[in-house]
Amino acid sequence: MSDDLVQILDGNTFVVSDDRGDIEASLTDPTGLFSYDTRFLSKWVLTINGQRLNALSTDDLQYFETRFFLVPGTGTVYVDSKLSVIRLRAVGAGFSEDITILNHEEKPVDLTIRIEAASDFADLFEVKDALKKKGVYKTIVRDGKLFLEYRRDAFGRATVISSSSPARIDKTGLTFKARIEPHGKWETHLDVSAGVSGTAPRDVSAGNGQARMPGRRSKAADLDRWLREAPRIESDSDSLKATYRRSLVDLAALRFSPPIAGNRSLPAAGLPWFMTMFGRDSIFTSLQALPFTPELAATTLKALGEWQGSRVDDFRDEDPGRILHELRYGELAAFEERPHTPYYGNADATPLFVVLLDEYERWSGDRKLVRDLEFEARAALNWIDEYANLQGNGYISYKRRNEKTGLENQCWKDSWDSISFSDGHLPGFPRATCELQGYAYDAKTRGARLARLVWKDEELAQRLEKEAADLKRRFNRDFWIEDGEYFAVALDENGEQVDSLTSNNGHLLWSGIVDKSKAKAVVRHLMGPRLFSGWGVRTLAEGEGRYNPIGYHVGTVWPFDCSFIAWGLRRYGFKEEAARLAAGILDAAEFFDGRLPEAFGGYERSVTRYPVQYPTACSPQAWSTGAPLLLLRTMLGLDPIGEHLVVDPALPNGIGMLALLDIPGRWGHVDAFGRGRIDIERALSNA
Amino acid sequence: MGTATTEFFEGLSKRSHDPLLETTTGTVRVDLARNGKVERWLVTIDHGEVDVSHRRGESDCTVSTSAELFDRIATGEENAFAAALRGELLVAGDSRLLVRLQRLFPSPPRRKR
Repeated sequence: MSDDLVQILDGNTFVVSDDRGDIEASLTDPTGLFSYDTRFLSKWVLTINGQRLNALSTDDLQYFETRFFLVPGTGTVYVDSKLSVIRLRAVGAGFSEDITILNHEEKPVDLTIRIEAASDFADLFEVKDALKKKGVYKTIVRDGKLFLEYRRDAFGRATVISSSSPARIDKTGLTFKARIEPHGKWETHLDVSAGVSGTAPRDVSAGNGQARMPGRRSKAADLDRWLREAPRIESDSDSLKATYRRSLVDLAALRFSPPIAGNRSLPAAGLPWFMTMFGRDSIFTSLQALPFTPELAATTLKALGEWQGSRVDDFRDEDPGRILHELRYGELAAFEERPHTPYYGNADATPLFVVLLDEYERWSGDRKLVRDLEFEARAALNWIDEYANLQGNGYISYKRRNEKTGLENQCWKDSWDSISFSDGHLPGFPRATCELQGYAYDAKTRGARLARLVWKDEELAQRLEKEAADLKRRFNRDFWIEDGEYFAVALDENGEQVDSLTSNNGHLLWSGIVDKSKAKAVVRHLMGPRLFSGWGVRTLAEGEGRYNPIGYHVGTVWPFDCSFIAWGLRRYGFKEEAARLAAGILDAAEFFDGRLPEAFGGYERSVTRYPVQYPTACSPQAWSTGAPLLLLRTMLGLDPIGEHLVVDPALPNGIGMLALLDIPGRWGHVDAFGRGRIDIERALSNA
Repeated sequence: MGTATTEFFEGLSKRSHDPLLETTTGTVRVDLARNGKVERWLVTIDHGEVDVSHRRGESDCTVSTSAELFDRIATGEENAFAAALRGELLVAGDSRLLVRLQRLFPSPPRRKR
């Protein structure tokens, strides 16, 4: 997304406009009012006496609200306007816009104020892929309102535009005639609602009787509550405090209430394309945020549990027990031109579902949820062996059954060329990427704990423990590259090692599948010059055939990836290295004003001096937003043991003091303190 | 009647207890337009115990669609959620119950799309 576009959002409704507040979208342009994966406005342009306006300034008041200060004119450098125009826009089930025009002159002015409005009702996928529409459009002026409608069979969507002041409404917009007295003002309130077409717009969801979004005031109160209930931070590092606050606010913005979750919310993946339920992203973000906003984890678990696969459906790559990949509400999903109702093609969310359930219980002590989700957790554990063992070799592999619109790579590195051999050639399918085996190991280990503790099934616990131990033994034999001393990124369709060096090694540390005797060599790679850029760990090591410092999964640094690698480093006792990695990512965050992008370039830090943002990266993105939170956890060494929270700080020396106050959990609320004592330069040279 | 819908609901009531619905409680009313009449099914789920009837009664969730479409859903040929998004199947009330009920529909016939 380019930086001069203004975005505001609420749930999965969002507006992207230029800095004047105008929307002029083309089929491939991502501006507009979007709701439930459909664009409800593709044109929204304000003119005064036929003239476009110029932006003086734009204030993002809240994530759901923006104020544009404008003057009429043609864009000349010198502005001496007798008029000021203020547009205050807030997102709800659509958006509302207050337009105020101030006359600074000694005499009255007569104005013609015009809003041009239109909608192409494009599906988000169409905006991404530039596809043609199959339905019919209708525009109606009725009861002082402008109705923009789209219909394809029974699928109907409508935008309804109305105004508080009298307007002449035609099929392309609204015109106001105003006389403003000397030093007087003129105001109007515009309402744009987006919904299912019919007599009245309704929410576009499976449960189409859902209540309307809460108003502005309650949203502001909700954000206040959200910030108040999260732990408080104290530090001498202003940058760290700013990054923490930014993360909490963005996480609030990225909360999304799927129709089936009632009023509860879970993290959507990212703006603008991914304001929807994603299995993997929602789970990773919930894990990152557990010490701060544990309710996200509870909602994620419940919602993903509700939608757990129960059938064998090739189009959706669905299996019984499988956790969904992505759910969409737009036209292409509805007409099954895309498989997202929901699509299940991922190989990691299912074991990660069990990992999150256990980690959530360790923090919250909420055994009721573990009992309520017993069936789903057992089905997820069963999926690993029954449906994911595609090669019969005891490893999770993936191969899409929907060959037309399914995903080739069903791991977090889901672009087409993300998994490659050192010489650059791509393996065939099925593929068993290494981190999937780590997640399976962790899921079995944690599943055993839950079986013993909550489900009271000792037999299952013992079986899972035995399977986990066996998996660990085989994995350390089959994936370990002896001469390179790291783990292969995958086994290919013949069970051969795919030998490139990747950041996936860090996820293996996090899962605990790595033999203790191999950990040191793995850490040496992660913190060594081929993988560590000075900011973070590259997805693919320098020197590999497909390495490209701005290649999506083949050389860029992903903050989310690094946050889990830091957790892995702590798990194996590499405190200094974890602190070094945290310092690199948090330094990078400072360059992005506390909002880490999805990915940034893998260039050497000493060469570029600043992190180079990946060109089309999503921002804010949930698991990037969660990365600083998880790094706070790893730096303070927070870990629930029994009924207590253990604090074992290891902070980089750039942070003098860090305190996290009122960390919620089964212990009530506790505080954690740490001082920066780790010399990060030394930590690096020792690695 | 011998329709796919009838077979589906009769199968449900025979199973009586379904582990897929262990944590589900609620009543779903399914109103189907068949030959100009409304065919009504009332499915009551109580922690996995399923009761199916044609009774009138309160429901937490009402699903209305054509009998032809529901016959195809009952055999796995159509996906209920996609049909709801298309506007061919209307859901009123607690839509989570429809998500739960979906678990009981069979897999689609295996074929390449």
